[in-house]
Amino acid sequence: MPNDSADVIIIGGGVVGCAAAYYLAQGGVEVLLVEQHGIGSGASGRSGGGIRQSARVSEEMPLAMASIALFPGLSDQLGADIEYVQAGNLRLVENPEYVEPMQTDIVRQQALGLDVRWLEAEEVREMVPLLKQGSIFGASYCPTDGHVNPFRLTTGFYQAACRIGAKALIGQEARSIRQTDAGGVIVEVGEQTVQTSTVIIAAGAGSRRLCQNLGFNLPLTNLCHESMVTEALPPLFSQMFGVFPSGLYFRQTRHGGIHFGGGTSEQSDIARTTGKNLQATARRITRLMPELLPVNVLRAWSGIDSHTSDKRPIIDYLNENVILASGFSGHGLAVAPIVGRYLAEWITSGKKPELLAPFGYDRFN
Amino acid sequence: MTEIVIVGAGPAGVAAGVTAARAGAQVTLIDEYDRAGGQYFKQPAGSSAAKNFPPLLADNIQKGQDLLAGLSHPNINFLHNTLVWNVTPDRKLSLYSPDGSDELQAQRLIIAGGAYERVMPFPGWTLPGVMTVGGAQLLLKGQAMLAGRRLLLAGTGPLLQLAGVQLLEAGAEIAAIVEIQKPKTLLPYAFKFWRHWDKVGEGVKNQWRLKKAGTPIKFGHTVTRALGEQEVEGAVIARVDDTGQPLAGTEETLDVDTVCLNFGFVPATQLTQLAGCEHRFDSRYGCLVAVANQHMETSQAGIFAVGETRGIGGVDVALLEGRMAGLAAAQQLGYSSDETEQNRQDTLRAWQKARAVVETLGAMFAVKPGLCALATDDVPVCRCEEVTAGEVRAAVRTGVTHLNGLKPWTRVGMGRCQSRICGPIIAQIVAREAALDVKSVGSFTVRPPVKPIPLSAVKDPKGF
Ligand SMILES: Cc1cc2nc3c(=O)[nH]c(=O)nc-3n(C[C@H](O)[C@H](O)[C@H](O)COP(=O)(O)OP(=O)(O)OC[C@H]3O[C@@H](n4cnc5c(N)ncnc54)[C@H](O)[C@@H]3O)c2cc1C
Ligand SMILES: Cc1cc2nc3c(=O)[nH]c(=O)nc-3n(C[C@H](O)[C@H](O)[C@H](O)COP(=O)(O)OP(=O)(O)OC[C@H]3O[C@@H](n4cnc5c(N)ncnc54)[C@H](O)[C@@H]3O)c2cc1C
Repeated sequence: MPNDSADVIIIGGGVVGCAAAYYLAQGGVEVLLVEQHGIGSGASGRSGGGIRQSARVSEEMPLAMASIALFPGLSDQLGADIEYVQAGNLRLVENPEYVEPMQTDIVRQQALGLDVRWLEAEEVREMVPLLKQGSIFGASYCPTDGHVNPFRLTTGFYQAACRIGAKALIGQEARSIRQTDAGGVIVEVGEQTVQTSTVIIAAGAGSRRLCQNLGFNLPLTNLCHESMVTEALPPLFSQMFGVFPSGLYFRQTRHGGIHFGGGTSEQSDIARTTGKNLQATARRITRLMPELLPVNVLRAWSGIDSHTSDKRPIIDYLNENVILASGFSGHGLAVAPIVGRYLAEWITSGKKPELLAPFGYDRFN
Repeated sequence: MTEIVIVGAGPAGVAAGVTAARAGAQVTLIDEYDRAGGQYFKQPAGSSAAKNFPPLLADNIQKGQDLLAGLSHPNINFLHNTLVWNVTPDRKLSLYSPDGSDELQAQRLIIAGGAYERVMPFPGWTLPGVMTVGGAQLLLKGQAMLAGRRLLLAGTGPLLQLAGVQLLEAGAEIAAIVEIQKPKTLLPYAFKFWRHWDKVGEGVKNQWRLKKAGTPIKFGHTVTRALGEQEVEGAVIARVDDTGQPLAGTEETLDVDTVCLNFGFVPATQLTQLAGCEHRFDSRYGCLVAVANQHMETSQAGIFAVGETRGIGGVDVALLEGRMAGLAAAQQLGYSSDETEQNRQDTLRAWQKARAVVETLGAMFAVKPGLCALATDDVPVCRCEEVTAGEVRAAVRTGVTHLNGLKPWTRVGMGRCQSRICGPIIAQIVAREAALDVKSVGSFTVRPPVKPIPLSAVKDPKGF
């Protein structure tokens, strides 16, 4: 006999699970969110905070654009300041060979309806005088991109969901998902069992294992990479930055620290901060902004996200009871609000939202 | 590749270095301070002779100088002003000093990082004039200065009375020493000391000196509040119950301008944690300590942990463990010493005896969970990020069950000290609020750099 029941059980208290809980609860659905460690303890709380549409694969662009449209209203709706800054994303080109490919990519993105344009090096330096002269050869600029405090975004969704009736089990692992003869599902959570008709697997790096238990061997790989933050500085720039081709990204947080990361990732299921990549990352950022050389680094950390081979998430029913929403491939924070909303819509209406079409798991068959 | 690298030039690290060097090994000894000596044998600035200090301090400084004389051995390279900011399990160290930075690969690594003092937050504890007992000792030893005119020493453990005597001898006025433990809880341990009269003798001598000077020692009391707007102008003390919780209605106001705190010590395990060594939770200190065998070797082959890193042991234990590790590391590298099997057995026995004494001391002066009540909701507990106890408690009420889980909700542990100071305190507060034991709420994950260092040093480990 199950100890408890809920209309929908969400496994994972990351930004995707919390957003889904919020939109489901808003629709009057009885949800139970299960999180093994703490809210935001996975990729969500460790992420770079970039909220961008630019540089996405074409299939994901419409979803990202729909998500960005939600961001400006979120702080008010959630009753939590998510520290959203819509000051644009600059993708800096550090190597003249990459100017042309970047410009070609801009044309691709423009054709999808995104407001993105090429800026010459001098135009970029006018916006961000801290960039060293000669360090870049131009940039792609998308003014509607920006950044957010990933902790605040995740806890904001979580608390708002709880206020409108969502329930949660924190510090407890969902150990298994079993379909019953009666057409429902039983989820084993810690020492208890909970009965439901629908389970959302939004377990980030833990999704792969849960899918395997259900007999699905999906091409999900867990990749880990390190980031750092400096001591608080006075406001220096407000944009989100990506660097091409090194993969460096950075932003200045509201608190004042410069948060940066990127570059190499390693396949790993455990987030261990070895410091191995800190040197390369520090080199990259100080090459662009030598004035940061004397600034103190306060700490480094690492995070793991679940990646797919085509860099698009899987958002799909695996069977009549279980929906998977994972494989966000290192850029899931930005799309989480719209994914949460569409998951709720799909479950309550039974109709698949159109923009989710490119994310079926059958594309890997 | 360096043969033996030792982090920490306190009694444990120095003893290890001197022993290994005498056995023939090449030693690199590293400390982030400008002088060797560590906490206990901290040496005065310049060349001030020990004789300028009052008797108790002079004796300590002289003993320190005797020990440190061994550092002149040609096999020892002492890098001072050098912070070890990262260590990997394969013994690669990242160093930072103001004149450059470096990386070292050690064949054997001895971690002797010591301990720091535990403080407990209470209303007014962030006022200028509140400091640690060690801070007051440092002023006295390092700069021959008194921390204040009229002092209150508060907390728990033998250091309070020892420092009290040192400060008295230097001319300070001590309004009171308040010790949270009660005589009735200390008494049952007395029989355990029957073979260690020297320790009892020290304590009795200190009490007698304080008594002669008319300094009240109030057992079963704690400081509950520091008074004043801009700086300390007084302090309130109160009686505590058996859990350490202050009892309403027993408050007493003291006229003091300085409050010195020491609620015991917290072993510094940042480096052993980064090196991936096994740790165990010690409920007496309410935190993790490194695990090592009788050769002081940790679960990571070739990495040794000695002194306070293994659990608060005091100076005698630190010296013994340093020697044992220095010898073991040198032997692993093929050096032999003239130490006989008899010597070795004697050292082992002396060590076991010394550890037994401090185990008892640790139990006598264990952390009291009720002291958390001192940190009322408006009291800042994380000073770096100005997070109050109330904010931590509110986060716990959202379902947080582990220290790392606080980070999405508050900025505790995300500031300059990387939770070194506040971590153990916050663990107590979270455990109490969530009705869990301190062990299960865990600790903040240690990450490099252990202390803030400039980007220039991270970027280029070979000089700037
Ligand atoms: C270092 C880093 C930087 C990033 N930067 C950006 C960025 O700038 N912009 C951007 O858009 N994206 C970024 N991302 C990606 C983004 O963070 C993730 O795609 C997104 O957070 C995924 O959210 P999630 O909810 O799916 O997963 P997670 O946040 O990982 O949440 C999954 C949760 O499920 C829990 N869980 C797992 N298994 C179980 C179980 N069996 N039972 C109970 N609970 C379980 C986990 O504990 C975890 O809390 C970054 C990722 C990383 C690692
Ligand atoms: C204020 C105070 C007073 C004390 N009084 C007494 C007493 O009266 N009697 C007694 O028996 N014990 C006392 N102790 C306990 C004392 O810690 C030990 O007795 C003794 O000093 C321990 O020796 P150690 O070598 O283990 O550590 P320490 O003496 O603490 O030495 C550790 C050294 O490691 C260095 N270090 C740490 N981390 C790094 C890093 N990452 N990079 C570079 N260097 C690093 C530190 O700078 C320090 O010099 C006191 C401790 C304190 C804090």
